[in-house]
Amino acid sequence: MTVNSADEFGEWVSPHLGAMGLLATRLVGSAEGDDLVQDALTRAWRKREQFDAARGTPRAWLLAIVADRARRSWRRPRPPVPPTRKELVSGPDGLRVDVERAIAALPARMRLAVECVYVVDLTIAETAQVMGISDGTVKSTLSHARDRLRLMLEES
Amino acid sequence: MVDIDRALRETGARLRAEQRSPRVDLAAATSAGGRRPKGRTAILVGVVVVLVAGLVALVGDRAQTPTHARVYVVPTTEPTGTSHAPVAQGALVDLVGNAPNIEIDHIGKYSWTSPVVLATPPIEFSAGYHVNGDAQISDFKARPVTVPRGFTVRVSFNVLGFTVLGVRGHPTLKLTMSAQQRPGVVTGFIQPCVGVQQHGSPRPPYAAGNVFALRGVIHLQPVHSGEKEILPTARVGRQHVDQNTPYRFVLPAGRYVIAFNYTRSLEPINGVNIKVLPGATIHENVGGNCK
Repeated sequence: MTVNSADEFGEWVSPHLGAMGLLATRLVGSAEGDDLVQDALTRAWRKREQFDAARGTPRAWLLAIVADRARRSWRRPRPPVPPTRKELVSGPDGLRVDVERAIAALPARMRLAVECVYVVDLTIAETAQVMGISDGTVKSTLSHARDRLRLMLEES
Repeated sequence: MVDIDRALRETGARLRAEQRSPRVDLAAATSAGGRRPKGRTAILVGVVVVLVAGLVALVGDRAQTPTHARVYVVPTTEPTGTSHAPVAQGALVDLVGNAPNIEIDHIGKYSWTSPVVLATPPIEFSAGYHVNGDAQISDFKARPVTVPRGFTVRVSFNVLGFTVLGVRGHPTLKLTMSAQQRPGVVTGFIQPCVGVQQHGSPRPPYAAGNVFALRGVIHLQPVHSGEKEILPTARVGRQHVDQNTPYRFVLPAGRYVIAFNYTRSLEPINGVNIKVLPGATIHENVGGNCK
């Protein structure tokens, strides 16, 4: 990585601040999201020499730091409240799904995969880089997550 | 059977549309970090820093035991990073107290008033903070206050405890505040209602009509046939444009819906979500769906 000055670093991370903010907000909540991004940026600056373009995109590298800081942070989200039937099912023609609450109830690994792919709109390959696992494992984790969400929503 | 994949994609799209840019301080990120020494040097330096910091903290704790809360007197000169812009009519550029550092050197109450005075009340006010170093902060409050010449921002917080950082001095509280931001521009045309076009045929002229800028976002309301779009009602601008004439709104940063109709009616028929960023120009054509 050839980012040496603070200005270059700013230009390098700016296109990805939105995705970093979105993932941080989803993982630790809106009140703490900005602080988490700030923390991740400080770490990214310190570790910038470790970025290897051959191993992944800048976006995936920065989001991996966000996910890592969220895991380590004391700013953990409150335990998700299981969605009630009233919240999950309403409307005249069947299901109106409160998917956000259901996602929050997933185990951490499944949740991170879902957030990366569906919310932050990362590719499978980028999600694999963020999570530090293989593409295949991302796909299977997503599959399990979808099964669990379907079960959760249909049972309620 | 719930279509989970579709539900997830729709939820993701909605969350992305609602997301605002994070309020971060890149200068703080790059000044707090720097290059770290590697290998054994890093370990040695780390051990020394921990030992020195611990020793200083032990000594410092005795010296800093509070006897009473005192108000921190901020220097009358403006903190580093405070930026100015002329306050005039209309949408403005004005950052109040852009990332000043407040040194934490005692336990107790701190208060700080921005030296920048706004002529008009802030239309948007926000504040955040980030502690550089080890300090426990509580009851952080930031609010606009009236002063003789206008409006400013007052910050107060309590420091419950902190550790002296050895050679680096005291921890600092870095503030990020904005009271009024640079406006952004949104412009575009009304797409005509023309149906399917023949390949190679000339582009039809852009349509005339009314264009509306509404503060907020479109909400989806479930109905029997699917979902109905509900436009926000807070109207911040309206323009009538002629054929082949662009509309143009200058708006404070934020989320808006650009809505339109093909007549001079004051009721918009459809719209699109946009996000106005400070200083940026967005091109967004509306219409074309023949509703």
